[in-house]
Amino acid sequence: MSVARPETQTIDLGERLVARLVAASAAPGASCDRLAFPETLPPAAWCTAPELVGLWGTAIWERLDPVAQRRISFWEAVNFFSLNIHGERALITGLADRLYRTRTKSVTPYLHCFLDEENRHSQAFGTFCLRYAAKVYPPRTVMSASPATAERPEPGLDDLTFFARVLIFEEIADYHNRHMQHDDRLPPVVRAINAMHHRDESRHLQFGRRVVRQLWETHSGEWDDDAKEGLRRHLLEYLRAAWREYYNPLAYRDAGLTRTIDVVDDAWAHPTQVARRERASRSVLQYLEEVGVLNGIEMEGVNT
Amino acid sequence: MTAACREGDIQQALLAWIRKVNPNAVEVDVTTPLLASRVLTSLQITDLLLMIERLRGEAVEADELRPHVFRNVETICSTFFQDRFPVEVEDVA
Repeated sequence: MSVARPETQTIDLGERLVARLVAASAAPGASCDRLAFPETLPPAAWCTAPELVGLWGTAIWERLDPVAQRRISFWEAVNFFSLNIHGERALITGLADRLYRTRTKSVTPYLHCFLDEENRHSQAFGTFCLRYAAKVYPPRTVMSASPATAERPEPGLDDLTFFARVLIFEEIADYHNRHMQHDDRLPPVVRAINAMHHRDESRHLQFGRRVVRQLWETHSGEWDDDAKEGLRRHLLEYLRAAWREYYNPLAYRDAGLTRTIDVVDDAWAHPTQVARRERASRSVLQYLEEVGVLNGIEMEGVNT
Repeated sequence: MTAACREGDIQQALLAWIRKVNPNAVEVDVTTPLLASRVLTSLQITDLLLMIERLRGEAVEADELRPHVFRNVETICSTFFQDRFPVEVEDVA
């Protein structure tokens, strides 16, 4: 007969940090309640900063007239908010699964805030998509448990995989939010969504970074090399998959482009876009390397 | 070329792509379980979907992609290509 190993508390950031994060989440202005969605968006407005559009720098982008470029920026915004909805759905599922577990007992008060905020974000993203585009793009990946660790009993590995994935996903999104929250070219509602998301994500990222470091420092010494290598491979694969969602042929189709699969391939491979992905990924990769989760900052496998 | 032959081309193109992504999968065939036997990871489905779209010549629009759709090359063909033969498969792998 096998006996399950009793859970021990593996995530403990200290009561003071948890209390501070909970208080910050409750502070006025920290939620998206006051977002104002106009009935329509200004005609031919930029909805994504052009430098952050997936086609920026490509030959096809240069050939488009300004109206067509702005149209693409609108559908890219719909895609950006859609992929955030799906990313946050996975996040909400994982966070809910970690409520009131022995190993997460000390951080559960903040997990409630985290969950609440992610739910509100999805609501804001969904409102934008449905009001202005009448659709949310479906996810382009399948939902699954963290396969690198699903059958491995190493304590802390499953939690670290989850929180490191969350960190990667949120740091990339936050790169875009930070750059667009004050961009006067964008309509106020688009700026406000980006600002709201960035404001909340800065707390989530602070929390996530601390959790990842603590889990690694507490447990990685107990894992064998295969487990660590599997984790590294999985996280880089996740980074690639996360970026792939930013180049959606359905968005390009809705923007009026043809041969949209070729458009995606050209955009993905273009040096301007490779540089964009490297820039936006640098911060989280550096952090994961500094902690010891990654051996180095290696984007080649992510970008090919 | 017959539809059956075209289907065979699609299957071969998918198998070639899988072997390129996972060079250890030399013995993969159309019935090999792709996720269950870890020939591919669930995170590689995003790239596989793009490969399927290259073969189809257009984007796939599905409410939700379920893992069983990607069980093996046969299920992929029956899900994404059943009504699409004949198609051109050159220069996409």
